[in-house]
Amino acid sequence: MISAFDQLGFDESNTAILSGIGCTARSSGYLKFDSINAIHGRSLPIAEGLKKVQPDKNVVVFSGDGDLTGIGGNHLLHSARRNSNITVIMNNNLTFGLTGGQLSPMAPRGTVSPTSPKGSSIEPVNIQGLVASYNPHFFSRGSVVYPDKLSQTIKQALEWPHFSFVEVVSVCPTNYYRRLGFKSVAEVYQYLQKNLKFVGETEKLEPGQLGIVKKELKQKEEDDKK
Amino acid sequence: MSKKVYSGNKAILKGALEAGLNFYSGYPITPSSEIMEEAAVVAGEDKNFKFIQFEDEIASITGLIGASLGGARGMTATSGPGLSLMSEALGLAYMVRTPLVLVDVQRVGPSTGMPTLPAQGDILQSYHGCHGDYSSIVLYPSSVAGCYQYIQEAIYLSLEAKQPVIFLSDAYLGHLRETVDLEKNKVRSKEIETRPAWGNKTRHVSGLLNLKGTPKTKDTQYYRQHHQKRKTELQKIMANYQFYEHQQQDTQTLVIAYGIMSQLVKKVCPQASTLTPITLFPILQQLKEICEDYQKIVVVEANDGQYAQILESHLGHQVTKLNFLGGKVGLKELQTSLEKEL
Amino acid sequence: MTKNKAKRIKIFGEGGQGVQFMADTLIRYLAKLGFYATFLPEYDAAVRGGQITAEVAFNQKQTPCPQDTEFNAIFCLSGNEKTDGLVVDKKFQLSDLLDKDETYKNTRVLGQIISFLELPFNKEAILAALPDKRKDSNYQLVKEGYQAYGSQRTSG
Repeated sequence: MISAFDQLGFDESNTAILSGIGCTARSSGYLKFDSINAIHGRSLPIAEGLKKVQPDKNVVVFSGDGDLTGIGGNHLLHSARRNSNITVIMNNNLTFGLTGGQLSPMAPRGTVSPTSPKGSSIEPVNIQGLVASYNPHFFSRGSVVYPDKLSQTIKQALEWPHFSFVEVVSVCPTNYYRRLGFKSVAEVYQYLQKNLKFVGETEKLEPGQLGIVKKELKQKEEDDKK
Repeated sequence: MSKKVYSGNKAILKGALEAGLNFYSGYPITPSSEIMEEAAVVAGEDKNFKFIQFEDEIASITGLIGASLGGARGMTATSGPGLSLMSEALGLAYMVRTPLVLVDVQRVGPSTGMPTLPAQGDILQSYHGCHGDYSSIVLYPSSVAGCYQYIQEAIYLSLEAKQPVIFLSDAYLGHLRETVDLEKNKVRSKEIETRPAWGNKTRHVSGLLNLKGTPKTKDTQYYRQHHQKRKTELQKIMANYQFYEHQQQDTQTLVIAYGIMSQLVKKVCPQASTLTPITLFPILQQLKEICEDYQKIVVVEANDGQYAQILESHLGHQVTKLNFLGGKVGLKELQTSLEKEL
Repeated sequence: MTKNKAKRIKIFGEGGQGVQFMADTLIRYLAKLGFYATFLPEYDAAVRGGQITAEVAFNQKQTPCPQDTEFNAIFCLSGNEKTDGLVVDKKFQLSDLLDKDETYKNTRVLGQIISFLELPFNKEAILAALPDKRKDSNYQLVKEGYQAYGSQRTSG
C-alpha cells in the first residue's frame, strides 16, 4: 500500500486513512497520516463524510474482513451504491483475530472456530458480487504473499475515479491457520503461494484467483443507450 | 421585515444555517424529517452546503464525525429510536473531541411507540446514553423562536467545547408554527478557536484513550487526569451558556418545567413562580441558588419524572413530581394537578 | 375580549379538506400584518379522511401560548365537533355548505375567517402568504369568502 502511495504522490498532505476496529484497523495509528481508529464497522461512513467536505483529499479505508463485511456490511452495500471516490482495502484474514479467532463472515463453509466448533455451515459474504453489481465498479483481489503485484493492484484501485475495493488475502497464523494444522508462517505462505493464481483483468474472479474486475462509466452509458 | 413563520423543525435548520452550518447527514424519521428535507433543499441551492442521506442513523452520525474532522460545521436530526442507534458514535465523538450537533425531536417511546405524538422521554438517554463516563451537553428550547435561537448557541457551544451537543425538541414543538423575529432571536456570531481541520497538520485520532495519538490503554492515572481535565474545561466554557428563564412571583412554590411544558404551565397558572431551564445539562450553576429561595419545588414534565430524579440528586432533597407521560397534553388536566400543589 | 388578550380560533376538518393549508396561509398573513402568531396542528394521520384540527392564535406584542380552552370562534368543515369544556364565542357549522367534489373551493373559508377576525384585507400580503401553486385562483376564493361574510355581517 505504502509503495503504491509513493508512486502516486499520496502523502500526509493530501491523504487520510480511516479504519474501524480490529488487528488491521490498528494500522491507521502506525502510519503518519490524518487518520482515525474509529468504532467497529463504521469507517466507511466516516470516509464518506470526510470526502464530501474535502473532495480533493485521497480517502482510503483500511480495515479487516470482520469490520467491513460483518458489522459494517450495511455501510459497504450503500457506500458502493453511492460510488463516491474512496478506496477500500480489506485485509481478509478470514477470522476475528483480535478477539481470539471467532468465525468471520468471510470464512469459508466448514471453518472450525471457537464459535463454530463443528465447522461453519454457512457461505461467506459474496463481496465481489456485491461490489460488481453496481456500475461503474472496481473489485480486485491481491495477496500479501505477492507483495509487488498487490502494490500494483492497490495503485490501480487508488487511481480509479469512483468507489474501488481491494480484497487482500492475508493470514492470521495464530488464530486461523494454526487451527488448520499449519506449524509456521512460512508454511502458510508456501501454501498460499501454491494455491493463489494471478489472472489479471477478468469478468469474474474465481476462488483462489487474484486480479481485477472493473467496469468503466463509459460502458455503463453505452449499456443505458441500449 | 424580519418576522417569519417557521415550524419548530424548520426553525432549527434556519437557525443552524445562521450559525454557519454547512454539512448535514441523516436518515428520515418521524417527527424530525422536515429538518432533513429543509437541509436537502439548501444543498440543492448552495453548492457549499453538503448533504448526505445515509443508510441508517449509525452511518449518519459517523459520516458527520468524518465531515467534522474535515472541518465542516455539521448537524444531524433524529428521534428516539435514532438516538439509541447514534449513542455509540456519540461516545466516539466525545473521545475524539469532534464538534457536532445532534437534534432529537422526541416522540413517545420506547421502540416505535406513538411516532407522531410528543413526549419528553429522552431526557435520561440524552444525559447519559453512552457507556462510560463523560459529560454531556443538552439544550432544550421551549418555543419555536427558541429553536431558532438556541440551535445557534448549540453550534457555537459544540465548537467551543469540541464535543457533541444534543439539542432536544419534541413532536409538539417540531410541527408547531410560530412567528419568529429573526433579528430579535439572532445570536451574535462568535469567533471560536476551533481545532484545525484534517489536512492542516497530520493528526491521528482514536476511540482508544490516547496521548497525542499514542494509545494509553493501561494507564489508569492518565485516564483519571484526562477525565478531570475535560470536566474542568467544560465547566469554564459552560459559564457562558447558562440559559434559563426565571419568572418570579410572590410565592413559596417554584414550578420547574422545560420545553413546551413550560409554556403550558405558564398558561394555566400565570400566578406561579416558574423556572424554565434551557440548558438542561450540565445542570445549571444557578439552579441550586434559585431553588433555595423557595420552600417547595414542583417539577412538571412529559415523562415519568426523568429530570426530577437528577434534580433531586443535585438539590439533596426530594421534589414534587407532576408527571404527564407522553401523548396529547390536556390543559384542564395540567391545571387541576398544578392547582393542588400550589 | 380585552385588548391584550390573544385572538384564537380553531378549524376542524378531515384530511384533504385543506385545513393545514388554510391555517398555514393564515399564520403567514398574520405575520405579514405584523402580528405574533401561532398555529398548532393536530392530526390522526396526514391522509384523506383522518381528522385534522388547527388552532391559530395571535397577538400584537408576543406569541401566545399554542393551546387554550377559550376561542373566539370554531370553524367545522366536517362533522359537528364536540366543544365540551371549551369556551366558544361563536361556532360556524360549514359542513353542509361545502361542496365535497370541489374541496379547493374551501379556501373561501379562509376569507371568511379573515373577515370574522376583523383583519384588514391586504391584497399584497394575502398574495405573499399564499403558496405559488394556484396563487391567483386561491386569492380570488379568499376574496369571495371575505366579501360574502362581510356582507352577511353588515346585512345581519
